Amino acid sequence: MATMHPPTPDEARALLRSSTTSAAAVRDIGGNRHAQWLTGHAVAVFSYFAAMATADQDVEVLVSSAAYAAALALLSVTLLPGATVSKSGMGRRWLRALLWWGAIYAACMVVGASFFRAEPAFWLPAAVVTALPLAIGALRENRA
Amino acid sequence: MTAAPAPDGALPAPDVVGASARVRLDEVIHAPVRLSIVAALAATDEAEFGAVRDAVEVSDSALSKHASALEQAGYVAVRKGYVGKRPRTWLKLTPPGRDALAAHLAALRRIAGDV
Repeated sequence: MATMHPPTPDEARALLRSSTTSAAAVRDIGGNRHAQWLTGHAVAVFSYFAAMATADQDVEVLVSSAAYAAALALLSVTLLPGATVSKSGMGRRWLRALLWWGAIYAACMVVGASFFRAEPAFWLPAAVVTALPLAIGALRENRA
Repeated sequence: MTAAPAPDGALPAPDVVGASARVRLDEVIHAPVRLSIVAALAATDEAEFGAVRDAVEVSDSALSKHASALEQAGYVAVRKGYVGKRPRTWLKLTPPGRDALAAHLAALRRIAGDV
């Protein structure tokens, strides 16, 4: 193995700069598909809950639910498989956002469907609260 | 052993830089291209081959060669999969790779006089 030549201070600085540049470049090249997915999901769930505010017939509930499921599927199929970069810590941020969303979503759906069918006073604030973990997750992922 | 700065405040010459800084330089990632590859991967949990290639601005063959060397050293893990029907390769920095990068960068900062 060839003897490694230690860098001069200027060379060391250049190496440090290039390492920083490479790290920034790979984050830029990767785009931000995971943040886009979280944003799209936040919009979809907000729209779904807003639709539930006026859905007093079973068919309306079914159509809204199907539209939400379709939107989620479309987001997942178009954004996730092609993600070329997962930013450092993405898994942890992703899991945190989805766990919070899942808990709030489940609670709001159970309470809303049981006691507040087609009641805008429940479903509209619930739309905001349910979308919030996803929106915060998107913001954190964007800043990472 | 650390080198005392020159009387006029200039940085110490490379031949008098402390041996401790030199010995912490990692021979595997000392080459500029490999250092760039490892630094790029350190910013990710995992990155696709093409993204790393474009970030580091090397050819496919050059990245493949360096990635193999880094994988043999245990610093990078290579995962092959598919997106649809297209084969894809993902690179991930291993914990030893992260430790090696951190130590190497610290050594570079000492040589640069930034510490």
